Amino acid sequence: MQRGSSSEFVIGARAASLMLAVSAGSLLLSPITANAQSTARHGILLAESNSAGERQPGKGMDPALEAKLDEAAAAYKKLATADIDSLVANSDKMLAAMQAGDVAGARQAWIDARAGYERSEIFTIKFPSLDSAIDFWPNSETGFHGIEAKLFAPGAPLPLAETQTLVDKVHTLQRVFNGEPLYGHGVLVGIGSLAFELGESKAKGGESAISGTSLLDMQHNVDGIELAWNTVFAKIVRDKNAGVADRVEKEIAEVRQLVSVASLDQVDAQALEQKAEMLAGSVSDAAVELGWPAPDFTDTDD
Amino acid sequence: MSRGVQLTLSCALLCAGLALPARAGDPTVLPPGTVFGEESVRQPREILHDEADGGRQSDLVALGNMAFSSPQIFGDPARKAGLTCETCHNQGDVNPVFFIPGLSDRPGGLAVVNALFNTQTTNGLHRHIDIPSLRGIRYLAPYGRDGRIASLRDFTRNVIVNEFGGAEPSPKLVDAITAYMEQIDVLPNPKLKSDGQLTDAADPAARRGERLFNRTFPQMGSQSCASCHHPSALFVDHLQHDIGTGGAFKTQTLLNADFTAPYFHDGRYATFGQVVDYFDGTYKLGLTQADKSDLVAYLQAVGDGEQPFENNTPDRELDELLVFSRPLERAIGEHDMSVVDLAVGTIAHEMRELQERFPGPSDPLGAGEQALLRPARSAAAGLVIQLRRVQSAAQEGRYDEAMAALKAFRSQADAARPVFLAALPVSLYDPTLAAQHQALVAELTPLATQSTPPATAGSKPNP
Repeated sequence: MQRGSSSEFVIGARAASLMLAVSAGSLLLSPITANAQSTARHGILLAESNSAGERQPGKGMDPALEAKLDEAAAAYKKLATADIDSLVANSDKMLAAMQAGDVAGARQAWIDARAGYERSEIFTIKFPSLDSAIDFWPNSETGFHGIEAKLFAPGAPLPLAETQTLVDKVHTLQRVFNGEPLYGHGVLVGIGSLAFELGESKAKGGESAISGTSLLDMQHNVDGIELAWNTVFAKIVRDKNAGVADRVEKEIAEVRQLVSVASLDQVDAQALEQKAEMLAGSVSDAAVELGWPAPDFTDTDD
Repeated sequence: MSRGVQLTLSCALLCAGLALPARAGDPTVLPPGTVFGEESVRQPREILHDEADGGRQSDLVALGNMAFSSPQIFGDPARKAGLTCETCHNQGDVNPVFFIPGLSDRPGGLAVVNALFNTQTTNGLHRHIDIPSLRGIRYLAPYGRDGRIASLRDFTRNVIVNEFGGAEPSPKLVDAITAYMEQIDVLPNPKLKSDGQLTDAADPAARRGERLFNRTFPQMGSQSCASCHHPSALFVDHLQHDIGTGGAFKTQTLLNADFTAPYFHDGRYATFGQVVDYFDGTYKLGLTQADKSDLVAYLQAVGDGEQPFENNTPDRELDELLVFSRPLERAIGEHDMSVVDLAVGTIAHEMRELQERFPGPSDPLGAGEQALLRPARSAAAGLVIQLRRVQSAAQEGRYDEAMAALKAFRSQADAARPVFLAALPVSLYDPTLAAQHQALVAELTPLATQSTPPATAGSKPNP
């Protein structure tokens, strides 16, 4: 889920990276800082793509290793394309169903479209303004959750205009996604942020409470985490430190088990909080093993 | 949970980008309209005896203090709902806004024996109990509103196991929680001498009230108010009396009672005036209006306390979490995983709550201040993750690494302190912003607070 607009994300990222630079005793601006500053200076904060945080080579980062990770990230991108395609196809289907007055069909298409999106939350932070328009939460005016509030509430008028906007946005996302590279570091930050976020979502009734699909959101988030980890990092991290890789994979399995229940009220929020936070910690350890500085997983600002 | 319940909650969640407090009760476990009130900045001031004397919380007291804030000592669903001792006994005092629809007749209490928290003890009755303050509790035996349990330790175990469905706690843990509660002092009151008599600081009405309080009435069996509320013994007699409120209940202290309304075992009276009226009416004392207001003035003087409230700050929270980290350190050294898990779970969750007081960019109150707020959120998240590293290492038997990770956590906490303080003025630690935030949330949740709770089978209201 996206919880903020791009401008704030960029400013926040700059502040955070400034802190990192200062705490490292260095007055040199990190690449992120320079990027965010120039972005701000040119006044394109609402650009559809924001690659802040994508590439952040550590001091000890082996260029060959980074190239290998970026290559793996490209392979992951190919797999993730299927989720984006499914998001787009089902969004189109939802609009068509609404136009035909088929509420049940529109609801099912909404659920199917979200599945693709929730699996893609690993990298949607790369497109903050689109993510904001598509999945802003909690907010009933726009995006999936604005549509949800009307589509799943008995008797509410069908949100045709909102759905048309969503369809436009997901088509844009597909186009931008296809045209942009994914880098290893960005995928890793996505995995850690999503893991950390999973730890708190249950306590607030879940993200998609109206449609009753919050549990599905969580399951699809875990799918996304697992796919990204296995495709990009599993082998490379294992070669560096099998213990860390074992830990990440054990914790992914544990998180999966905790959300593999029949209904949201059966999710053990405290156990999920624990395992999700442990997973975020292990992903952070994996980043350090790879030569990156310990990443900042605070994209979870609700 | 019914669809209707989900709808009422999610409307509130979806209407705006507000950060809702995570521990307002898990909405899938407790009924809508549940209020824990933990988002309030103002909180009762807690004085721990050894700290007030210039010492510190012993490791045992710190362990108890930590467990007091942990839902993990309770069974499901209290645990899942995030309920802790601290939820009701906020800073060892009371929680006047605490309310669970169906379990609470009025804010500030609940029927502690109920079908929700422990089916084994359910008796088909609904008896609302007002939350008592724990200030001075070590002097206030016996325990329970009806005083049925002589020992605070036994009473505590009963609360954990029988009222809130927890597993049998280790003897050490019960010792620890008891030791912590025994530290909670009554707030000093300059209007009272050590023998409970009023000082010159009390006003004339209160002094007239004091004489009435000590006057015997034939209608009360030639006893006075002071016959049970002994001024020289913290205003109690350690006995139970039937004063016509539906059974025998123990004498409550009047110290710091200005801050513990409502009154009587079931919280039926909101003010001292109503309490005085009750005695006047029940025992036909024939008090004049002036007598009554003098008695109320006396109760107010006796019930006063210095600086009863203080504002919560990230400083206080960090200090507390660092105290909690001491029993964690000891547990790592002793390879005591039950305490490691308990401590990490508690500290990490409190740290998440601290993080939520720094609103994100989608919160209307935080939107413009992310340059300060985001580093604070980031630091808090980093602390949470670091604690989980401690736990993870300990669980795998890497105790040295766990200890090193805990040291790193403490350094990180020290580094986070100025970051939190820099963001304080734009955070929900600012009382004005917190009040605005609560007002916005309240505006968005009328449905949730109005909804009718599911009736408990076989329950009947208090007489």
